[in-house]
Amino acid sequence: MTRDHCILLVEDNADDALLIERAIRKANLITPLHRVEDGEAACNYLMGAGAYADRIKHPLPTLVLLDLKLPKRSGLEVLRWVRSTPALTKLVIVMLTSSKEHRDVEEAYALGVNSYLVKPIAPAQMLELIKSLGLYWLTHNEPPATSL
Amino acid sequence: MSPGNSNALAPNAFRLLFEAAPDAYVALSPDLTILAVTDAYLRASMTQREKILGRGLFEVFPDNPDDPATEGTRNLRASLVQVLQHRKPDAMPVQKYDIRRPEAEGGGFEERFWSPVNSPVLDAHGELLYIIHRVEDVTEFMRLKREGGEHQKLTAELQELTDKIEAEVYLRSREVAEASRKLKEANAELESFSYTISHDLRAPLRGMQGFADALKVDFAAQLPEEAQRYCTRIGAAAQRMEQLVDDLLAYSRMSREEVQIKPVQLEAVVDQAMQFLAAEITDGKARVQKQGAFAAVLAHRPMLIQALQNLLSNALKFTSSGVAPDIGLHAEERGDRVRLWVEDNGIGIAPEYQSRVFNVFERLHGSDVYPGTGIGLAIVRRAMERMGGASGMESGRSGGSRFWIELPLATLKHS
Repeated sequence: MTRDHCILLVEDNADDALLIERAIRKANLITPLHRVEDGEAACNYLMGAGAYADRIKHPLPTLVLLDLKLPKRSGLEVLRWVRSTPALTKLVIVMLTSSKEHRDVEEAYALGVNSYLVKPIAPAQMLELIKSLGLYWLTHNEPPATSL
Repeated sequence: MSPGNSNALAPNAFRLLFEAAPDAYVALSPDLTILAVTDAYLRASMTQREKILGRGLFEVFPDNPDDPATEGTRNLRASLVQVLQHRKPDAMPVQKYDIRRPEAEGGGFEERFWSPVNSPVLDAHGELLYIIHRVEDVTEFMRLKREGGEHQKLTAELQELTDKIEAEVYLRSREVAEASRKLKEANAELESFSYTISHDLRAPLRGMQGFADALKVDFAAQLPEEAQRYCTRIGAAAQRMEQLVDDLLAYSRMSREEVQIKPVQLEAVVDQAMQFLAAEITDGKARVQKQGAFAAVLAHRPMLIQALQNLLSNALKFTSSGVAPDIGLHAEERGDRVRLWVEDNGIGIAPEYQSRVFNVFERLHGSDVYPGTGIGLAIVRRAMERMGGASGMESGRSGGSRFWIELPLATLKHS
């Protein structure tokens, strides 16, 4: 398990989480996946607070896949908090959500999201999406240096 | 002693001085005979000195017989009696006393208002020798005052009307504000409803389709062929549901999206819609032809593109098997509006169904033959309504359908 190579999936729907995990497996992404189920847990994880204090077990991710509609703190709230937290301003965050609503897309970009993806319903498309996501953000993309 | 000598006055100088006094005076004897008048009085009363001197005041100035309301004579007489009895000056209220116009000036009476003062002239023993009747012509003043009064009355009426209108406007504006608040609430509710559909209705669909597919793919070896077909059907059903959700959202978005009407080149919109459907056009080996000139219309561009895309998509979809779609597009100016025709060689629509095709979720065919949710034309209709346009259809000349959308023509002024 390398510290600088991990995906944090913020997803409350177990079905979606399972299908995304399956797509990641099928896409042969070797990157370890960590999952939290709500917005507050996402913030705690990223801060290394509480149950997530152990950075070996819960390393800072190179990529966050963030759902919009989440319990406790919404995806946009998490995004706003991340961008206003000095140590996390450069964290790569990709929205992965079911909403195609114009205002969600606009707001997410306004808050500084790196990319906005809509969860496809067809599994084949989900696989395609995860493949290109991994290729782009984990292989081609030159990530910023993150502290913590 | 000459009149130029300032130390004394000639005996008749007093008369001259009196007559030249700048105001209107009449000197009366106790029996109200006119003894002397000033020139100013003669001018004001339109009389001549030789015709009134030595005559009784009321003989010279009778009441205007055409004005029954007049009280001028009676009031003057009462005032003079007061002075005679009490030997004290008496100022009368403003009197209406019409003046007899000389025959040379047309005769009749002229309306006049006067402000008279009657002053006694007493001798050393306090006996009354004369009365000086002084009048001031206040006709002009009264006229102005009366007009002012009328203005005031008019102004008051206007003010009352204004107040009424203001009250009405206030009430109406409150009603409008209330209605618009309710509308906003309803809109916000609709928005959150759509938002919920968008997020929550999709999630189970992804589950259904995702796991049906996972089952089929990951356990292909263990699943009999029939089980695999069922998995496919679960997936297809979920896909149809997704399309329904998408279309419903598009329809509701069409209803609440802000409309910004601007001049739009119709031909550019046609090109754009065709570009969006390039894959379908190529796959269906369809021929899509633009015919004639296309004007500029007043529209909300994204909405117009969506509407046209839906019409073209239908024209590409509803074809007889084995016949390549042949679609014609042309614009027709109808007064201050432009109608865009989309004509196809497809299966057409029987006249009895033509009025129904623009309804939401209206379908005329089984989804196995022509897949779709039945919302495409409802979106077209709603889009056109929101842009102040119209939509409709008729049967084509050679079996297909002729759909049209209509929008206001954008004049040069607008562009």
